[in-house]
Amino acid sequence: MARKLRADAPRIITANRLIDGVVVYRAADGSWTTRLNKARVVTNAPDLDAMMPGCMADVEACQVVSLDVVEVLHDPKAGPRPLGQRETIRAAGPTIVLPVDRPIPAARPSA
Amino acid sequence: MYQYDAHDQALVDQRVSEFRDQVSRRLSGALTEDQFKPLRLMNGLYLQLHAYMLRVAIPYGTLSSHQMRVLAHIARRYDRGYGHFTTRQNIQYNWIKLADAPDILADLAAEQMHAIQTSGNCIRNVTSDPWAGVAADEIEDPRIAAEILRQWSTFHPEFSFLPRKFKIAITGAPTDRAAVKVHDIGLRMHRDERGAVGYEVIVGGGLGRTPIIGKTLRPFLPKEHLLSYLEAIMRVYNTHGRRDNMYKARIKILVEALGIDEFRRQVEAEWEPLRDGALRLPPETYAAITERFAPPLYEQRTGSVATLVRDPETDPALARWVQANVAPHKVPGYGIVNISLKGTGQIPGDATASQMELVAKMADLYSLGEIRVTHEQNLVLPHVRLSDLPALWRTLDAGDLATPNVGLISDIIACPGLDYCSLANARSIPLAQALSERFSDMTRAQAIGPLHINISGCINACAHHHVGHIGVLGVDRKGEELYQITLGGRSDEAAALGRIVGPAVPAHQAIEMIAGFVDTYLAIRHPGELFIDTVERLGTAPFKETLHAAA
Repeated sequence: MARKLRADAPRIITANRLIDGVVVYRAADGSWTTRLNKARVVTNAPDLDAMMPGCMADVEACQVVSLDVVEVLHDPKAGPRPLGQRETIRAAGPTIVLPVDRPIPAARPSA
Repeated sequence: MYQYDAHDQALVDQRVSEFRDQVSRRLSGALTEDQFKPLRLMNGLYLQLHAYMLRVAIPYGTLSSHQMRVLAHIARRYDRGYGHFTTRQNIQYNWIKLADAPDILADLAAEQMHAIQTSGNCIRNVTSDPWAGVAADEIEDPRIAAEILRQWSTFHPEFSFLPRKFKIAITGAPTDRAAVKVHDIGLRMHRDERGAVGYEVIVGGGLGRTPIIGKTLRPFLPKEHLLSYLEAIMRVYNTHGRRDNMYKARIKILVEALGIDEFRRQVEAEWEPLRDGALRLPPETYAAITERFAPPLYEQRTGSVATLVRDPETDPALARWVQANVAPHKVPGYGIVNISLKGTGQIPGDATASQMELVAKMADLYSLGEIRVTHEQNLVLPHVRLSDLPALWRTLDAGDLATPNVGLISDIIACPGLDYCSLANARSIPLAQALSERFSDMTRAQAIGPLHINISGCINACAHHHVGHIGVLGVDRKGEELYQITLGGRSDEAAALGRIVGPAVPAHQAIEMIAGFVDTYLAIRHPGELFIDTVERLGTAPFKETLHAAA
């Protein structure tokens, strides 16, 4: 998303894992995590720029695709929270109850 | 049903091994994402919000029970136990791993299926009437031409990199159940004054960002010229369609820019040297494909859907289901059974693996092993003996597949929306579920009569909202999901685009607006008048008054 970000807005780096498309976030230790609350939050451009080479290297190494920087709400205690419906759904999954593949009972007998 | 010959099978098998190699090279780093993305899209594989999505082609919406079991197997083995039938008569899986995709394609190929040309800027799966071959009002089975078009367009070297995607639909009946006027090319079969069968060729229809009803390019095209004429259209489009702006790249924009008369002149000029060449279809070619769609051997039977409904001995709940979901068949004593994938509060078009298997079993028992997928996201058993309806109905009911609402207000068409789709601006499914709950009273739904609600989560219009009797478009306004409502759209032979009523509103207000429109319709309709006809007779004004009264 080429969205213009405020220079001091809290931001995280996100991507999808290449092999299965799962949503991942860049953690402080340079790994990718599926948990948003483990994502490293940066609030200035130099910190963000410093994270980029490692992320790009993982793109090159076929670990992740669709690299993106997104703004978050940041509570230092609770960790980052998604901003907007799209990122909320990326973080938490669909908002609907997914169909469950249950065995189907035999037909009720005719009246 | 059409069966692959050795050529078809080799083509599909080769594509599986080619894609297996491409995936392996991507995972090893030999291909970059930029290099790989067009290759995966050519095999129907998208990257969505949470996973890869695989779109499997169901040519002209026809499936065998064996194929349906393979679709169930894929849902269970490689996905989360369900799949989503789409408005283009395909099926999509939402939770696919890239690493599994080659195995899935191999499983599909083993049962004569594939995901070829379900994405990318090529000619997509040709869609058709889900009642093809069985509809009482049909001239000829449109799947014969659809299959000829499939063979012509698959891997067509000249049309593999078109300016944009290209969708063709064909109907063989005067009642258009294939929405041919909102496709890049629509083909409407009819007879000329001598009784010969041919096609009205409609071009430049489409929805999305720029909705346009298609225009008649040629009122009557003899069958033998089908391929040469479409090749000429494709060449004019491929040469002059815009490649500088993807939003202006569809053929509809070219037709509008040139005008239909100039576009026709160019097509005719292109066609002249082609028409009697290698693409001409002699009657033998038609006959050879026709043989592959030979009607099954029906029994000599009597009875009609109408008499069954009227029979006082019929269980009232069965009668209600038959009335809503079973259509007249061309053969006496048979019916076309429409299976609703729109149970109350369910996700439109979704079916679990067990439900797919149940439908496959019912097809074997009661429909000569054949199933159809509709662009309204339902399924069809096309050849059911009327005497089998009670047993079929009871079994479907046990699988939550006997909701008597086909064509009614709760038979809502909805795209996956922002719950899955990376293009979406707003969610579609929760609104569809809420409306389905709101209109869950089937007695009232039948009193309201035929009414199509179509909900798209973005302007790309996968749920065809422009041609819904009530259309709903999800938009994102400063982070808020809002829904823009239109009235008066239709996708049948009298195709029309809906007109916007009122500003975009949050979901709960959209539900109230729609409920208000229904109340208004019930109050002002003439006896027996359909919703769409009331809107056409009176315009949107009386419905807008409902809004003002509510404000």
